[in-house]
This record gives sequence, structure tokens and C-alpha cells, in this order.
Amino acid sequence: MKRTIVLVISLLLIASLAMAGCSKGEDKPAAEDTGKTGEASEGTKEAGKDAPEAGAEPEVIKLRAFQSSFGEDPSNTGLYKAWLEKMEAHIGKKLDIEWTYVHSDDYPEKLKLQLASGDVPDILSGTKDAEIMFQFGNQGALLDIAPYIDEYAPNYKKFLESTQYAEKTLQTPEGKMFFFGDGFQNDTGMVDSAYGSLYRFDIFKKHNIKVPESWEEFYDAAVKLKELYPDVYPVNAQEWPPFHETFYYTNHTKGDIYWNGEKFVYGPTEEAFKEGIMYVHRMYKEKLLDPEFLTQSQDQLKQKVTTGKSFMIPFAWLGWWEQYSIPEQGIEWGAAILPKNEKYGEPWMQGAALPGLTAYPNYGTMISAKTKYPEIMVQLLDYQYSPEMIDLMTWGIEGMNYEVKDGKRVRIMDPSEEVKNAKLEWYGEGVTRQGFVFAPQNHAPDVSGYKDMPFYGKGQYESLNPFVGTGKFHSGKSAIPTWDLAPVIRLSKEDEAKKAQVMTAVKTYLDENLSKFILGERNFDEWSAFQDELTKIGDYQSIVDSMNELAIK
Amino acid sequence: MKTYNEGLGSRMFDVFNYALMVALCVIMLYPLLNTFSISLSDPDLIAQGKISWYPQGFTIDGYSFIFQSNDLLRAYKNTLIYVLVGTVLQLLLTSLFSYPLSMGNFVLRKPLTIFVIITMVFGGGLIPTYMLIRNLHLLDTLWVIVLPGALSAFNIIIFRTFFQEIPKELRESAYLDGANDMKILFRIYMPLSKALLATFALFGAVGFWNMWFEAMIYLNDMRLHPIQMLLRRMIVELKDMNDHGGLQRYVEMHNVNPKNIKMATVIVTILPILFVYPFVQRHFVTGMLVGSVKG
Amino acid sequence: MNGNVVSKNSFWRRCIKQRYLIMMVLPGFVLMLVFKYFPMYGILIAFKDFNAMDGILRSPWAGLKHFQAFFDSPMSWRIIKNTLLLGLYSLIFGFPAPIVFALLLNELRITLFKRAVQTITYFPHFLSTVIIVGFVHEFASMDGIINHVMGWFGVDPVPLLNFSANFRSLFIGSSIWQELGWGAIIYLAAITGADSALYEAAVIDGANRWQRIRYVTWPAIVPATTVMLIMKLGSILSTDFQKVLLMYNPNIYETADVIETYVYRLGIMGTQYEYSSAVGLMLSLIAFVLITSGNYISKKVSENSLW
Repeated sequence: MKRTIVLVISLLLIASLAMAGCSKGEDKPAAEDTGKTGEASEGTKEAGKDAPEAGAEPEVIKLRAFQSSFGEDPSNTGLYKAWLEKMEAHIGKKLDIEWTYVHSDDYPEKLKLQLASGDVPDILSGTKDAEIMFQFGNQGALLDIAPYIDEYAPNYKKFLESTQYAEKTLQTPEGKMFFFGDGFQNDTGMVDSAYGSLYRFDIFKKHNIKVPESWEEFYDAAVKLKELYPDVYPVNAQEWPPFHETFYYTNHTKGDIYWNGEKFVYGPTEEAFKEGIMYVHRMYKEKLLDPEFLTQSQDQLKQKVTTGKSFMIPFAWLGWWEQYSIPEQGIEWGAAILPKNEKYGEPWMQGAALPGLTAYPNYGTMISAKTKYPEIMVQLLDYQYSPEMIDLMTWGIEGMNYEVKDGKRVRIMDPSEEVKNAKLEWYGEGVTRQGFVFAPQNHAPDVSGYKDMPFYGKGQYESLNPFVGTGKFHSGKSAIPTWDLAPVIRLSKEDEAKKAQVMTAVKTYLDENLSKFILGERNFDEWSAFQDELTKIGDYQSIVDSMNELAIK
Repeated sequence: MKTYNEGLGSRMFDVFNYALMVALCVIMLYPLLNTFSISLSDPDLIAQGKISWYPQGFTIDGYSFIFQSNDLLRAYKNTLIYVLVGTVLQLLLTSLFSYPLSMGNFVLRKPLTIFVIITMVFGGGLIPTYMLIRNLHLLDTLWVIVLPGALSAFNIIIFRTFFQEIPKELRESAYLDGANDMKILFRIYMPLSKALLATFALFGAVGFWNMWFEAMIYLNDMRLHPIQMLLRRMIVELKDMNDHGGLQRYVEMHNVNPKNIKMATVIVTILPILFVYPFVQRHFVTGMLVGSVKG
Repeated sequence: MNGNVVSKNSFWRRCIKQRYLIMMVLPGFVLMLVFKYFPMYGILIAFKDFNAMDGILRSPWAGLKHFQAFFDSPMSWRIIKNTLLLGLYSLIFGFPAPIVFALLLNELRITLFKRAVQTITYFPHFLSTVIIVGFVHEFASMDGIINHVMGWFGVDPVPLLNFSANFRSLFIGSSIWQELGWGAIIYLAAITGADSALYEAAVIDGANRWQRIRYVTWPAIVPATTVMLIMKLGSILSTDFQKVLLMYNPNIYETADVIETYVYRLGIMGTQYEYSSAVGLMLSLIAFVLITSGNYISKKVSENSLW
């Protein structure tokens, strides 16, 4: 008995070895060959199937889509059916799409594997790191869509035309385009953001302290709160964005190479940067800032802000307010825009929603270089950038997903049974994207998804949608950080690696010393010495120079 | 019971030893109990850090959320298959491979040992492995989960070391009785190595139970996903919503708290495997070898 | 077996004689050949300029460029040092802990209690790194248990993870906490191999507790311990980088930044497989040297060795 089992297993293994042996032969020239054989066999299959209409364009377009997913499988929903209908009508052919969904956390790893092993499906979601798309594109794995734009992509072209520095950002220096940039549409007429400062409004009201509008007022409020509650550290900070990054927006600087509107500069050498670090140090030294702000986890922070151990968070995603507030206990968190630094003018916005149409260089959608129908693939993806498709994919269907109130569209937050049964509800509540991920995002329904929160501005407490609030108290376009409108410089693979090596060393040394300055382990007298040390760690200036050279070209 | 000579020092040692063990138990029990308590507690109390040893403001929302999923049973079933097939295969192949290695006079002993050690240190990386698996047409099959990891250098070396401790005389007398090596392995060595087999059955089972990376890389078909992948998916979903601001809406609509769900997930994934150990322990009995030699 | 001079002829004769043993090894051999050895051509990536379309074998050679790149970094010596020290301390403190624990556990005489302790101590192994690190943050915070205990000795509470001096002890301590019970299982299995007749004889001879451990239990686990130690040597450099990533912050880079976290921050893993392969290959080579020398030393001082 046992011997037979062993025998069977050995046989199996020998068989698998034989298989490996066979495939070894075709595997030796690695990716290229296997890719070709795959394509060839697919081709023959296809040819056999469509034999009757040989020569003519096949009626059914078969394609594989490799997609990043953010929740449940969207390919079974009512919205998907509506999407497919429109798509098929648009190209005048039937679509047979084989969807592969991979969860967003696992997606980058699997995408790289697909690309690196030469097995590239027709349409692929991109990742946050556009570098991957450029490099695999340059290696020949992805379709260069640039030649198709004029003829087959009129909708996407509009996005390109209204995006600043689109050529530098979305193309290689040779003018090749390897992906459809992540589209963003903002027709709200406002420039707004979901980031700002959070304060315990109930405490501020109780002691009649003014909600800070400048860094001086921020300091004064903290001091007053410390007097009132000596055991408390009034100021705390999120893990992200960290305290000192608040000053990137209020002092108009950055802890890295950034575009200042005219050219690239290295932020940490600027006085504005040092000022920010000194401010954080002062708060820490005077025990106004929680000493654990560098090491605590989100859970620990939440515990502190819900139990009256901290009253001010200079920089946060405003959506936290609801989790931080406990109405039964009278704990009320509310928002304001970032404190102002008079010297530098209006604070900028983190994650500002640019007005109009924008194509972002990250999270694009790619087409395989080996696809059999490049024109159709371009058409399909382009159609997602059309106004009616954006509407369908972001607002949904009127009466089901949204309704019109006072001439404005409003999301139906609690869908009816009918909608649920038709599987028309938005999976993951607007997080899951329909169609080929990443199709353009529309800002208005996103805004409509946030509820009103306590908001302070211009001397008044109000109840506002966080986007509406930030939009209202900022003055539009001038609050957009310069780096959000910067040309993104594309370097060669080699130069990109060199840049990463120099800048990672520099950043490591910078981050490590910033916390030493903040915690008082290093004295600010040593700041200029520190600048010299930084130069010795890595030649960031040469990187800045080469970027400027490419930007101006 | 055996009689021990009971000196004062020995008693002191006992007191110290028992106290130490109790203390260890307390600190080792805390993380699991804490996780368990959080999975059953009121979200506001969790947020304020008030939950430590036992649940407060009892709720089972986290669990009902997880058990809503239709895929849960299928994922459990998949995991069970992977664990059973994988573990049996692992024990069988490792025993077969290690038995000859444990014999001092085996002609390939040294080269094969080095052959094995090299796999412990060097590997080709993900890309060629993925291409190999793809070319063998093993993607989206059970085999990709159980075969590549069936033999590990660590297991082989430990098995070999344990087999070496079994007296040579047993084998030699079996030869004289006309037994062949296969028979000796299955009839003498394996029964004598119950503690070892139990230990590695546990290691193997836990390994396959916890495995998710291979599933993530090689299984595109979600119907084949093990429980770890399913729950990972749920957590990723929650995290994504958190990042994108959709979480509050979701929490309100479904009336659940992410922390409850997260911790319930942990409990649901580890509880079944925790109960394997007591069964394994029964085989940790000293003196089995002696009995068999005498008998 | 006898005869020190083994001629070629007798090698083959022995092979034929032991064909049954060779057949037993065959399935495992084939499996490892296919799944472990065949993909090893991937190591070549470290010496190439990898291009996905050309595949690994056809991509152009790049020499030692990628290795050079690693050593060009001003941080490379620090991260090597940190990796080595973290691995070394983990070995010094983390390796003996489960052995001592298994020996102590073996001295418990109430079987039910013994089993309960075994079962409970193996629980933490099953919690994920994220959860364990969550507890580390909790315990190391200003009002956490560690500061609380330090308070008894008049030490002011500080955020422990803010100081580079604390990182290694917190990292290794929490690892021991998580893996103590799990790690002991294999030694408990080895102890079952101890001859109970010897044990009884020792009792009759009036051996005390310590002597019984020293002369009966300990010899039973020495072979497994030696082999485990040699293999552990090989994994000195493979730190649990997920855990470091979750535990560290810029202020403690000085001790906490290890090779893998640094390469992770480099952020070029996305496209630069060559660089990470080069780093990986270097680590493998060092591990191989460590195992080989560990084996050599062990062979000299005891009869236990891997080969």
C-alpha cells in the first residue's frame, strides 16, 4: 500500500521533471519566446474560432484586463452592465472581457511580475509609481499610444490639452506615451481639499480661545490650554502628515527637491524650512507638543484625542473628525484651514483638487504592446474620458444613485432595496471604480459623499462640508502648491537609479537629523554645519541642476 | 510516578520554576486575550484604550460582518485541503529523503546534504520561479501551493538529525530479518519518531494554514483562495476605504467598526489552528524508544 | 564503509548496492531540482541590465555595477553594521531562550500544568507582526507597562522608541516574547528522545536535579541544538524587515536602519530588480560562508555537523 503511494508520487514527479525539461528548452531564451508562443497559440485559437469570417474584423473582441481592485468584484453589477452596453455601442462590436482582479495591496507586486515575466494582458491598471510604466514601456512591453491619440482618443486629448506640462509629465523625452494618465475632473468651480487643522471646538468655545488662524495664534492657544490643563499636551500630530510638513504648505517649502514655480530647488536649504523645524522644536521644548508624536500609532493617537489628552492637531485628513468626536461626552472636533505664516502669505492646500480636466502621471491605464487590436484598445480607454462615461461611472444612474435637488446633483447615500437588488449600489461606496481601472475620477460626487462637519473660518463657527470649507476659506488657484503643477522629469533608468541612491541617502540623513533638531538632541547653532554634512552625504545639487536642465529644455 | 530525591534546593527550584511559568503564561496570554476582547468590545471604549483583559460593551458586529461573506466556507475548505495535502506530502517526502541521509555509509550522503543546504541560502527569485510555474501550467492549481514548498532544507536536516539518533542496531537487526529500507523507514523509524512527526505535522500545518504569499502570486482565481487571502482582502478593503474617506459612510451604513472587524478576523483565522497543538502534544512522551528496543 | 581508499569503481558499485536508498531520495531530489535549482539562473539578474522583453538570459551584462552601487552609498556601512548586530544579538539572546524554556518546562511535574503552559506560550506565534508591533508601541509608550515598571526604580517615563539605544532590546525582546513557546517545541520533541532508563538510573544513583539535566536531558538535545545553531547562523542577516519597518522612526535610524529597510526606502525595487538581486546575492553569500564556517567549527569541537 505505502509502497504504491510512493511509487505514484515518484512517477508524478518524474513526469513533472519531464515537463520541466520540455519547457526548459523553450524557456532558455526566456520571456520573449514564451510570450511569442503564447501569442501564437492564442492566435491560432482565435483563427479557428473565427474561421468563417477570415479576413474580416472579428465581431467579438476578446481581451484580457488585469485590474487593481478595491473591494468586491464590480463586474457583476448593474453599473457594469450599463458600462459594457455603452462601450459596445461606441466601438460597434461585442466585447468578451476576461477580468482578473487583484486587490490593491497586492497589485503592484503582481503587476511587476506580469510585466517582468513577459506575460502582458491587453489592458492593465497602473500603479502609483509611474516609473514602472515608463521603464517597462521603454523596454517594449507597453504600447506607445502617442501615434493613436489624434485619431482614436479625442476625449483623452482634451485632458492632455488642459494639463499643465502634460508633455513633460506624461511622455518620454522621445515623445512616447505608455499609458492613459489618471483623469480628474473638477466641475465644482472650486479649488478645495480634505486636509486642514483639527481642534477640539468644545474646549475652544468653553474657554473662549480663538481658533488659530496664524502660527502666533496657534502658539498662544497652546500656551493657554497648557495653563488650563497642566497635565495635558495640547498639541498632537498625525503619523501622516507629520507636524513639520504643515510648514511645507504654510511656509511654501518642502523637505525634498521641489518645483517652486520657476525651477527645481532643494527645500531643506531654505530659511522657510528651518523656520518650520524651529517652530516644532519650540512646541516640543515647552511641553506643548505630545512627546510621543514621532513614535505613536494611529490607535494611540485616537486614544489620546478621544480622552481629552490633546486638543489641537495642526495637519490632518479632516475626515478623522468624526472618529475623534464623541457627542455623548461632548467631545467635538472641528476643522479650520492651516494657520497662516504672514511672511509667506496664504497657506497652500494638501491634495488640492485642480479645476477643470487634469491627467495625472500616476495610476494610469496601460495597453500591452502585444495586443492584437491597438486601435480598439485605445478607443475603449479613451471613451472612459468622455463626459457621458465619467457621469455614468462616478454619478451612476439618476434616481438610483443620485437625485437632483435645487438643480444640483446629490448622491443617494442610502440606496433603496430596488437599487440593491439590481446590484446598482456603488460597491465600496465610490471607492471601487467601474470599468477599466483607473478611469477618470469626478470630484463632485466625491464632495457629495462627505458629510458636513464643524468648521471655523473668518471668525465664525459653521457646519460645512470639509471640501466646501477649505474651498471657501482659501482663495482658489493661488492655494495650489507649486509642486502640484510641476513638470515631472523623466530620467533614464540609469539616472533614475542614481537619483534614488543619492536622494535616499540624503533623505535618510535629513530625516534622522530633523528629529534630532526637533527633540533638542542637536542645537540650531549647528544648522549650517548640518547643511555642510548634508552636502557631503550626497550631491543633491547636481541632481537639481540636471532636472532643471531637462525642465527648461 | 518516579521518585526524585527531594533536596531543599530542588524544592526551591520548583517554586521558582512554577512561578516563572505562571508569569510567562500571563504575559503570553495577554496579546491573544486582548485581541479577542477587542473583537467583542464597544468601538468607543476601544478607541479610548479601555480594553485589556476582557470585553466591555459586548458586541458581535465584527463577527457577523465576516460571516456575511459567502466565500468564507469555501475559503476554509480550500485551506483545509492545502493543509492536509501539503502536510502529508511534506512529511512523506521529507522522511523518504532524510532516511538515507541519516545513514553514515550512504554513498551520496555528503553531496546530497550540500545540495540541500545550498537551497537554504540561494534562490533564483520571484521572476524565474513564476515563469517556471507558468510554463509547467501549475498556475491556479493545488500543486503550486503544495509542491514547491514540500521539501525544505530545514526540515530535511532536522529529520536527518533525529533519525541519526535512532540506534543503528535496530536497522541492522531488521536487515537480518530480511526487511528492506522502505520497510525499516515505515515500520521502525517513523513509529519511533512520533514526536518528530507530530512536531513537523504541526509546523507544516501551521505553515500551510498561514500561507498567503504563494496564493497571492500564483492563484488568480479567487475561488481557490485560502482563508488568509479572503480575510486579507477584507482588511485591504477596509483600509482602502479609510484612505479614501469612504470608511465613515461604510461604517454608518453597515453599522460596524473596523477595529472590531480586524480583530475578529484575526481570531477567526487563528482559532482553528490553535486547537491542533493539544493533539500534537500527546506524542511528546519520553522513553518511547526504550520500550521499542526492549520489545 | 571500511577502506579509506575509495576507488571510482567502488563508488559505482556502492551506488548499485544502495540503489534502493537512491530511489528513496529521488522524488525529493527531482522536486528540489525543478523548483529550487532550475530558477537559480535568476541570480544572473544581479550581473545584468535586465530588460523584460529580452528576458533574464538575453539581457546585456552589466558586470559588478549593481554591487558597486550598493557600496557607493554613504549609508552602506552603517546598514551592514546594523543588520549584523541585530542578527548577532538576536542569535545570542534569541537562540538559547527556547532551549532554556524547554528544559525548565521539562522539569514541571504536574502534567496538566505543563501542557497548559506549553499551549499558552505558543499562542503569540500566531499573531501577525502588525499586531505584535502594536503591542510593542503600547508597552513602550509613556504610560505603558515598561515605563511603569521603570517608575518603581525612580526613572522618569520617556517614549522608549524615540531613543536608538532601546531599539535592539525592544526588537529582540518582543521576538522572544512571540516565539519562545513555538521555538521550544522542537526541543521538547528532542527531549522525548532522552532515554528514560538512563533517567531512572540517574535517580537511583542519587543524581540531583542539575546533574540529571546536565547528563541525561541535555545530551539528548545536543545534536538538534547544534544543527539548529548552524542553520541559524545562516539566517543572521535575514532580519524581519516588515517588523523593523513598523517599529522604527527616523530618530532611531542610527541603530534600526538595516539593509532591507534601506533598500525598501530606495524605492527603486519597483523597476530595478538588478539592485535588489545584487543585495540579495551578497546576503546569500555571507550566509553561506557563515554556515560553512559554523559547520567547520562544529565538526572540530563536536561530532555534530551538517555534512
